[in-house]
Amino acid sequence: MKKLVLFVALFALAFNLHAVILKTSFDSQEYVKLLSALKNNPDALSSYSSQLQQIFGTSDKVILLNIDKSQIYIKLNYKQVLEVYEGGCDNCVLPNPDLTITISRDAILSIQNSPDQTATLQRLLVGGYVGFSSTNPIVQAELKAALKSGLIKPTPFGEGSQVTIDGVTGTVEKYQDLFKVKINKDYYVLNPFGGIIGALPKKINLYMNPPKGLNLYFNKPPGILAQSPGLIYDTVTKNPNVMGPQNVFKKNPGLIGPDQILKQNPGLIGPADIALLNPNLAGPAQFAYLLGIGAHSYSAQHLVNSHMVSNYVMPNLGNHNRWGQP
Amino acid sequence: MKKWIIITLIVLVLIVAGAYFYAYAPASDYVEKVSLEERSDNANLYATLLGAGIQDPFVDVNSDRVYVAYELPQGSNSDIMQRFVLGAAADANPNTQQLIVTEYVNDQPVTTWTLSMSDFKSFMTQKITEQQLDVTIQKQNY
Repeated sequence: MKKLVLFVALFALAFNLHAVILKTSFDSQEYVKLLSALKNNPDALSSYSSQLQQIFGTSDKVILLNIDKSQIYIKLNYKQVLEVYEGGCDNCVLPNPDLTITISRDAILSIQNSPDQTATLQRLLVGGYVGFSSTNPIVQAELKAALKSGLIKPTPFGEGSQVTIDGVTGTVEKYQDLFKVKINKDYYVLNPFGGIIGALPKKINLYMNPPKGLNLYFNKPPGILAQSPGLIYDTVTKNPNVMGPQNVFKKNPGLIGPDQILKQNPGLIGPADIALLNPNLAGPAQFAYLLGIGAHSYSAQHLVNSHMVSNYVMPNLGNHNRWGQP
Repeated sequence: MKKWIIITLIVLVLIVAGAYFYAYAPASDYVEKVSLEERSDNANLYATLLGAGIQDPFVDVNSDRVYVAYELPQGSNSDIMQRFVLGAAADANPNTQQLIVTEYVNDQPVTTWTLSMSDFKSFMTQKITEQQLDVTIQKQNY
C-alpha cells in the first residue's frame, strides 16, 4: 500500500512537470526548455516533497519521461528539479534512470484536459496506458501488483455519468465510440477516460446525418473541433488582427451579407476580400480569386502587392468581376 | 534423466520470461481516434468559415476528404459561398483527396458540391481552366 501511494505521488510529480509542456508544441527540445524553467524552483515540487522524500530519501534521482518519441531526463531530489535534458543527443552520456514513466501525448492531454484529473489518471492507470519501470525489480513487481490488486478504483465513466465543466453539470451521452456532454450551449467531446478532447458545433445532430443520396460515411466521430465554438467565435471576432463580416456588420448594421458588403463597400468586393483581411486566410482568398469570385484588378493588384496572391494570378484577372461590374 | 533436465530448463525459462513480462511489460500507447491534428484542422477551417460570415458550420477534415455542411448566411449568394467554402476546405488539408460541401437553407440541405483534390490542384497549377474546373464539380441538388 505504501508503494502504491508513493507511486501515485511519483506520477503526480510527472504531471506537475508536464503541465508546462502542454503550453507549447510537442517537441522534445521544447520539453527540455520548459522543464528547465522549473530548475531550482522550490515551488515546482512543494506539493510532493514529503512523498518524494519517502521514495527517494534525500539522494538525487533520475526520472526518464518517455512521451511518444521524446525522452526527457529529469534529475531531481525531494526538494527541487536539478537538471533537465533531452535523450538521444550525440556524444552525451546519459544516466541510468531510477524510474521510467512511459505515456503517450494523447494520454497526457487527456488528463490535462479532464474535468476530474484524478479519475482520468486512475482510469488510464487501470487500463495500462501509463507505464512505470524501476531499475529495482522488487519495486517494479510491487508497483505492478499494486495496480492489479484493485486498490485503484476509479469512478465509472460512460453514458449517463455526470460531468461538471466550468461549474455547470451535464449528463454524458454517447457520441459514436466517444462521449459528449452539453454544457450551456456547447457540446464537449470526452474520450473513454473522461478527458475533454474537443467540442462540437451546435447543430451537430442535424449535420452529422448527411443528406440522403450523398454517399458519405463517417469512420470516425466527425466534426470535433480542438476548441469550443464559443472560443473560436471570440477569437475571430475580438482579435483586432482579424476582420470578419461580423465586425463589418457591427460597424454597419445595415449590411446583412457578403453581397451587400460587396455593393456598399468599394474596398470590399466579396468573401475573398473579407477573408484576405485575415492574414491566415490567404489560401482561400487566392482560390476564391482564381475561381473568379470578385475578380477585380484593383483588389487583385492589392493582393499581389501584399504578397498574398502569386503573380501568376494576375493574367487571369480582368478589369471586371464575374458580374461584369468594374 | 536428460529429458527431465530439458523440461526443467524450459519451465525455468518460461517462469523467468513470464516474470520479466509481468514486471516490465510496456504500457499501451493511448492514441485518440480523431487526432489532435485533425481536430485542429477542423477548428482552423471552422474559424475561416466563421470569418466569412458562416455561423456555426460543421467541418470534418481528414486525409480522405474534407466535408463541410453549413447554413447559407442570410442575404448571401449561394454560388459565391459554395466556391469560397470549397477554397477554404482545400486549404484546410492540401493532402486530402476530395472536397464535399453541402449548403443548407433553414436547416434543409439545398445542394452538395463535390470536387476532387486532383482537379483542384490541376486548376491551381493552371493545367485546366476555370471553365474546365467547373465541369469537374459535381453538383447535387435536393
